[in-house]
Amino acid sequence: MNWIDIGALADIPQQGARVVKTAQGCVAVFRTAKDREFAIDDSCPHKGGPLSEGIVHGTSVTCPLHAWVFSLETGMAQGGMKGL
Amino acid sequence: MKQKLVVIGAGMASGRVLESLTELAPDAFDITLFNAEPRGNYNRIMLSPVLSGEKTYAEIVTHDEAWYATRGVKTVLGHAVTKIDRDAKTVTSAGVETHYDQLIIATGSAPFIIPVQGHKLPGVVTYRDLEDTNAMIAAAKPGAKAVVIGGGLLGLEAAAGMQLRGMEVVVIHIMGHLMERQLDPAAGYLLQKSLEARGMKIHCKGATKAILGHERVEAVLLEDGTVYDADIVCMAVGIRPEVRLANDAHLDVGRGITVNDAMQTSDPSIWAVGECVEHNKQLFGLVAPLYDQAKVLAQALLGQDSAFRPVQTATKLKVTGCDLFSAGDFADGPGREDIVFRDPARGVYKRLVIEGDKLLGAVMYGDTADGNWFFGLIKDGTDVTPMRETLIFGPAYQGGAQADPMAAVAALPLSAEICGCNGVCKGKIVDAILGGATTLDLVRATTKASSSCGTCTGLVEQVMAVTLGDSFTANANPTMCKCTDHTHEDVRRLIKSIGLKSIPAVMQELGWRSVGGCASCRPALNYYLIADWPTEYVDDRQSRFVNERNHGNIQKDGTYSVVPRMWGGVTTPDELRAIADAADKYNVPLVKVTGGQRIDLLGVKKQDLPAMWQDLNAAGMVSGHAYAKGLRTVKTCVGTDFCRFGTQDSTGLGIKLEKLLWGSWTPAKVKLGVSGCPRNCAEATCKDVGVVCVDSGYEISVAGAAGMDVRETEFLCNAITEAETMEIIAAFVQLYRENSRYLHRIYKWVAKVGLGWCQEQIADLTVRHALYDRFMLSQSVYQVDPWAELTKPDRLAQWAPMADLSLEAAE
Repeated sequence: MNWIDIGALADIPQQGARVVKTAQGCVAVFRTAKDREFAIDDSCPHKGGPLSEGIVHGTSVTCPLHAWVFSLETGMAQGGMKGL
Repeated sequence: MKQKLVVIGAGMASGRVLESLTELAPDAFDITLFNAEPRGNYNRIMLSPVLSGEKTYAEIVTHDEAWYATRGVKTVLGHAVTKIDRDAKTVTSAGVETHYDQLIIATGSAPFIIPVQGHKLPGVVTYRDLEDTNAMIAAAKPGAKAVVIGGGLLGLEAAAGMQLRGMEVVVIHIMGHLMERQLDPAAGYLLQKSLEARGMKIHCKGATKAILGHERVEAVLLEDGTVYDADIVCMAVGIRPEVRLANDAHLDVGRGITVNDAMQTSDPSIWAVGECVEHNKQLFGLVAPLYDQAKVLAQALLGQDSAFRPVQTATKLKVTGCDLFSAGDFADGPGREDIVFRDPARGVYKRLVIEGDKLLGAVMYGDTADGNWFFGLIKDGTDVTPMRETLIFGPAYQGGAQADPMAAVAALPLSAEICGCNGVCKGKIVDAILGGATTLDLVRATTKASSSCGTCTGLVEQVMAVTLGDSFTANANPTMCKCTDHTHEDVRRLIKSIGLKSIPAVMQELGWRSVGGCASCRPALNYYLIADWPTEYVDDRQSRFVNERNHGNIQKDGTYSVVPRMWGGVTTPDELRAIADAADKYNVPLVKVTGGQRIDLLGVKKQDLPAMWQDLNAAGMVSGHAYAKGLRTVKTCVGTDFCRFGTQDSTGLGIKLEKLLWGSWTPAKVKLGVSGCPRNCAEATCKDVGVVCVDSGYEISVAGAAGMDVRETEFLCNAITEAETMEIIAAFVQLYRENSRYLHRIYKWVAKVGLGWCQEQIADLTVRHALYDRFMLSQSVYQVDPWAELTKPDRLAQWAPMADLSLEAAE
């Protein structure tokens, strides 16, 4: 596996996210309150909202545009909405 | 051979010494007990119930003849010891000498007698022993008159006892309020009211001049000329240690017989215990320290290491129907703070005295259920800081039980106040429920609880649930979110009452079901904590909705809008040029004038925000908070400066108001309007707060809306000056900040609490000033320009992607 250094854990706020730009689009890199890290597409499947700007709670994130909630562990939308 | 131990005095302290001694080492001593009273040890503090007839003498005897006999204690009763010969090691009583190896002096105290004219008349008694008690009982014929001189603990117990025996009782007290050593003036006053309500006459600041009578007492004359008829006079003005024997024996005596930590006097074979001793310059009158002394003395006599360390003591008045408790030190002093709970209608008063992080003293009247708990905190020197907010409500409001609000509510005493607005206690609500009020509306109708501000609705429902059990079906007021069963109102109340100062603390203490909450409760909790603890809580950015975290309104494409503040809608050519330059420089796709009289730059990319803010900052502009649950705009008309109809400087007032209020976080957005005349060009009457200037001053109205709901404002009050207008509006905004649930605009909140309630709060100058002060305290922390804050060098990095791999991937 080819590792790329994108930064230190401290660069990401707890219960927050930062964006990594890639040629395929932005990736949201999350850090939870308990310092677990997750990375998902920074684009909500609903209307493309920036998930990196959502409120992080537990291991979930709520999209800032229309409040869809996604599990960071599975990428699936919670509460009956469609997943990533 | 056994040592000979002689004990002088059969009081409560020596009784306890004998108990300890005969228990620890039954055969160590040959004990002889002398007592001037013709009886052995009895529980002197229970003389009051004997006087009142609630107990008999037999019931308060602690050590009877059989007790002494089985332990081999010789008793010499009814004869006082008149002399101690330290060289010969003997005591003399009724002419008989008794040898001792060890001697205990437990002569107790003698009542203090005021040497006024007539103090030796028959019918003048003290309140010390069974003889006194019996004298009072003998005088107690229905309708007979008693005068008690001294409104301290003992005097009031004597008075209450004689009153229960059917006598008419007057209490004369030289100080300004009763029991001044145990109570502060407020509690003393409540006690006086309560005793007077039961028919006792209380005369404070009364100095006795003479006791009148020929063969026996007939009346008491005071310095102020008042005369009270008396069939019996009880002097209960104080006690002094009985030290005559010790003095005669040339032992070291101060106010009492001086003892060391082991209760040993200046003569190593002579010990002293009880009210007659002085230890570290301190005298002792309450029973708890005497018992401690007794234990120490018994151990010391047996050669064990032991030291008397006085601890704090608590006082309870043993008067039926008067619940009164005091403990520790409750005098005022520098560095001491008071927490006071007062409910005059119910006759409840509680006062806690705190110094630093410790509870020093407690005075309680009317509801003393938590007295022993407070006493424990005082004795243990517990750090009370974490529970300070709810300390005065007692143990039911502390600690782990909070996780289950039902348990906490179930644990509340019936006298606990549930509805602060209408002063409704739990018992009244329970009675109403048992009387058939099985719905919230019925409870409201019968008790008025939860019918005013509504913040106690959750508590009332919990009382209903506790009382009705399964038959209670809630719950008109929805919970805050799926993470908790609490309503917004409950959470706000509990944050304040428990003193929760962080989001994790709220979630932990209030039993949040989810980990880390959700996007609904987190911003609400963050707001509540900001509003309630402005100087202690630190704003949690990660609990902010994106707009408030990034200080711009997020648009559907993920870009943001930038709105500089234009105070009162007034701008300058320089500001306009700077805005135009910024729009050009950052390729702003849309420049629009807003409804709040300012300019919106829409479609700004996140990574351009800091640079653009810096440019606008450089031109003297700050964030307009156009995205915030906070103060948005103050819309104005041109007022007297240009308008021929203007009555006041509405533009100037609008600018001042905006400069006063900007930066404050509120439950939902707050918009103001100031119109210079009733033509109302600034549309002030559909704003959250509107001011319409008139010739005579300013008409302030509130609770308007022009959004999903359209509402005209309602009149709050008039103000004469600009300064008054500003103070009223700041106070009103603070009232809203402190009481509304998150996301409720002012009109929704006012509909809930009632405009009348708001008017009362604002009209009460004390309340208004306090609200204003709290608002300004919050502003001292939160009135900062977020643009300047977030563009400081150490915070710039967060606005860019943390890594850009788009080029690497292309390689």
